[in-house]
Amino acid sequence: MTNIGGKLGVLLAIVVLAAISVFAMTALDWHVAGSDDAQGLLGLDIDLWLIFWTLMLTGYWGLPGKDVPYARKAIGTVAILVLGVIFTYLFKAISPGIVGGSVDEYPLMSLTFVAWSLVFVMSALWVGSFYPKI
Amino acid sequence: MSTGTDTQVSPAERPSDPTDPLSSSTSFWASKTAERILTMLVVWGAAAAVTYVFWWVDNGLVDASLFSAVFAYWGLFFTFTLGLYLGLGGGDCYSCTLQSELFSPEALRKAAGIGIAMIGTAISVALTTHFAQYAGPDGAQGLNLAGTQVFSLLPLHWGFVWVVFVQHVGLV
Repeated sequence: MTNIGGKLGVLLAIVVLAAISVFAMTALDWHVAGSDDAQGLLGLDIDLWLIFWTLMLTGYWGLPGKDVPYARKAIGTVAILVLGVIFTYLFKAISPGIVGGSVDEYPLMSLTFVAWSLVFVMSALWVGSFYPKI
Repeated sequence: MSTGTDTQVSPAERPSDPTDPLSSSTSFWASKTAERILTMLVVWGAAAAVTYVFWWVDNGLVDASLFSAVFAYWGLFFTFTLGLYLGLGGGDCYSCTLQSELFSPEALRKAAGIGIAMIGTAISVALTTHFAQYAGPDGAQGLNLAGTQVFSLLPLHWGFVWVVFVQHVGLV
């Protein structure tokens, strides 16, 4: 029997978490970057946050229904988000030295953070994957 | 009841052969760990190369404020394409069987999937770039085509969409 209720619950969680992420990161964009340009990236951010939480909840956590080691997954989730923050600020620091330009106005905190978070959740799925080799 | 002679044993379960240069017991470079390290080097080397190409085309395309996102997204794309789609470093030892299976139907099917994704990406980028002009300067700001600052991200996003599509629709 298809777990319709579970799937709808996960879908709702994905949307809610993506919305919270966008609003929180947009606020952080303004706070950190001090730029109105942050708002212009809202449309580009929301789809990426939806992808991120879809991968996180269904792929990494196995929702709905998969029996996973919750403690380890919780630690992994925190680690993925922390690594996202670290790499966001790391590349903010080193980018001017690599490609030139300025990050005085850095309206891409959300876009960059979700990018690195996607990298790490995708890497976690890859390392733990059982996809067949060619 | 199995006699042992008709049982198929996966490469990972076979006892190591000291004469086999790819045996995990004889070489670190044949191990899954080494394969994953090499795959990550390839993934992030490719991401750096593509990012550099877009920076080289025009410095304005990848400036300091975009470098992190562009580099990360290309790394994400290659992690998915090479790691999850092609299976490099994700399953059994890839290099152990690559030589004998390079032109297998499965490998050719994957290559066809990559080709479909590349063609689909090119068409999608061309169409979205063309039709974005009708949104006007303000409407197109979501893609920022007027400034071309996210030009690198555009084929990336569509490439990601198409690789996911060919995988999950079952074309590969």
